[in-house]
Amino acid sequence: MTDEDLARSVQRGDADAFGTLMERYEAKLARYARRFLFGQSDAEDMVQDAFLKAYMNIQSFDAGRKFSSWLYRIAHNEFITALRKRTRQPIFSFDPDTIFPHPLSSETADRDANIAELRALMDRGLGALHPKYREPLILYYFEEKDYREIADILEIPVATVGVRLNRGRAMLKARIHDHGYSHD
Amino acid sequence: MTDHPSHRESPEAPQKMREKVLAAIKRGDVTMRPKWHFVLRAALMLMGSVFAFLALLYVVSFILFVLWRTGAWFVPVFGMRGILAFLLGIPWMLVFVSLALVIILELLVKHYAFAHRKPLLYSVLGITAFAFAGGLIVAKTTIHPWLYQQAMEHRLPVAGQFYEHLPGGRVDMVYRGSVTSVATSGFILAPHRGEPFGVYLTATTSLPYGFDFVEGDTVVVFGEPDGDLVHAIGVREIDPDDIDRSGPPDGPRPFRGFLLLPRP
Repeated sequence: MTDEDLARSVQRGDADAFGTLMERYEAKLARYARRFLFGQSDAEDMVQDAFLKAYMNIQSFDAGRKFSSWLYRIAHNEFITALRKRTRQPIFSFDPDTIFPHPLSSETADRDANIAELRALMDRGLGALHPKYREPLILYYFEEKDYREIADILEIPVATVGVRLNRGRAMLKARIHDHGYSHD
Repeated sequence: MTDHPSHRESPEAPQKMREKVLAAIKRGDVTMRPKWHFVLRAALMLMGSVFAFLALLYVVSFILFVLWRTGAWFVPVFGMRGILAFLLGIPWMLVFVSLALVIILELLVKHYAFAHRKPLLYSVLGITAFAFAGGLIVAKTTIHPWLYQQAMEHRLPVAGQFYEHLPGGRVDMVYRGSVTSVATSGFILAPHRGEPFGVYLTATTSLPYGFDFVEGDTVVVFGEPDGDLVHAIGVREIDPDDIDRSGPPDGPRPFRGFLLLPRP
C-alpha cells in the first residue's frame, strides 16, 4: 500500500493506518530533526508534534500529491518555529535568492560525484551552517529528496534549492579546510 | 558516520512515540480537523485572491483613466520634457497601492506549487502583466467615465470623493480639446470645459504625426501658457473616443515654470 493510499484511509477514519505511516517515517523524521536541530535536546518532541499536526490536518492532504513532501513540510514548519524561539530572530527572512532566476545544475551528477565526501564532511561541520543552507543539504544528501521535492518542502523556487546547496557545500568545505579537518 | 552523542538514535524511542501518538488519537486528545475546515480556508484564500486581483484591476484601470483624462499618457512622444511631464502626471500614490496589492496577491498564491517553484520575479511579472492588460481593457470601457459623471452629479456617495479629487487631475502644460479653426501659425483649441484659446506653433514644435489638423480633430497640446495663448512644444492628434470616454479636459491654467523652454 502506498503512503497516499494509507493517508486516504486515515482521512476515512482509520487511525491504525496512521500508525503504519508513522512506522514508515519516524526514523526518517528523527534523523532529519537531529541533523537540522543540531544540539537541540527536544528534537524528538518536535517530531512527535509534527506527527500530531499531520494527523490533525490530514484532511488537507491531497492524495494526488506526494505524502512524504507534505509530511516533511509540516516537520519543517515545526523545526523552524523551534529555531525561531531559540534564536529569537527570523530564520528565513526575505531571501533575494528567491527573486531572480538561476541556472539549474544537473542534480544527479552533482549528487553522485560528491555524496560520499560530503556526507563525511557534513557530520563534522553541518551544525555551524546557517539553517537556510543546512536544511537543503540534509534533505538532499541524507533524506535523498530531489530538487523539486525540496522546493515544495521549503516553498522556495527549484533554482534556489540549487543555489543554497552550492553555497552550503562551499561554506562547509571552507569551514572544514579552516579547521584542518580531513574527511579521510 | 559520527553523530553527536546526544543525538544517537535509541531503538525504542520510535516505538514509544508511535504508541503515545496513537494512544492520544484513540483517547480523543487529538482530533482530526474536518474537511470543511480546509475547504472553507481554501475558499477564503481564493476569494481573497480574486478580490485582491479585482481591486488591482480597478486601481490600474483608474491610473490609466487619470493619465488619459489629464492627457499625460500622450506626451512622452514629445521628448525628455514630455517624459518628465508624464512622470509628474502619474498618480504615484495609486501606483504604490497597486504594488501593495501585487504583494498581497503574491503572499496569497505563494503556497501553491505553481507560484513558489519559480523565481518570485516570474510570478510578480506575471501578475503585473495580467493586471496591466486587464486594467487596459477595463479602462477602455465606460465604467470610469460613468462613475466620474455620477461623482460630478453627487450621486456617488463613497467613491465620489475619489473621482471628484482625481489624483494627478491637472498636469502642467498638457491640454486636450478639439481644433475649431486652423491658421498657418497655429490653431484654436476648444477644451470641453473653459474658453477656447490659441495654440501657437513654432519651428521647434514637435509634430510627431505631422501637421494635417482640420477642424473637429481632437488633439493633445504640450506647451507653455502665455495669457490666452499656448506656445506649443508638441502637438499630436488622438483618438476622439479617448476624449469622449475619459471626461472633460482642462483649459489653460497658471504655469508653475519648472518646465519652461527658452522661447524661439
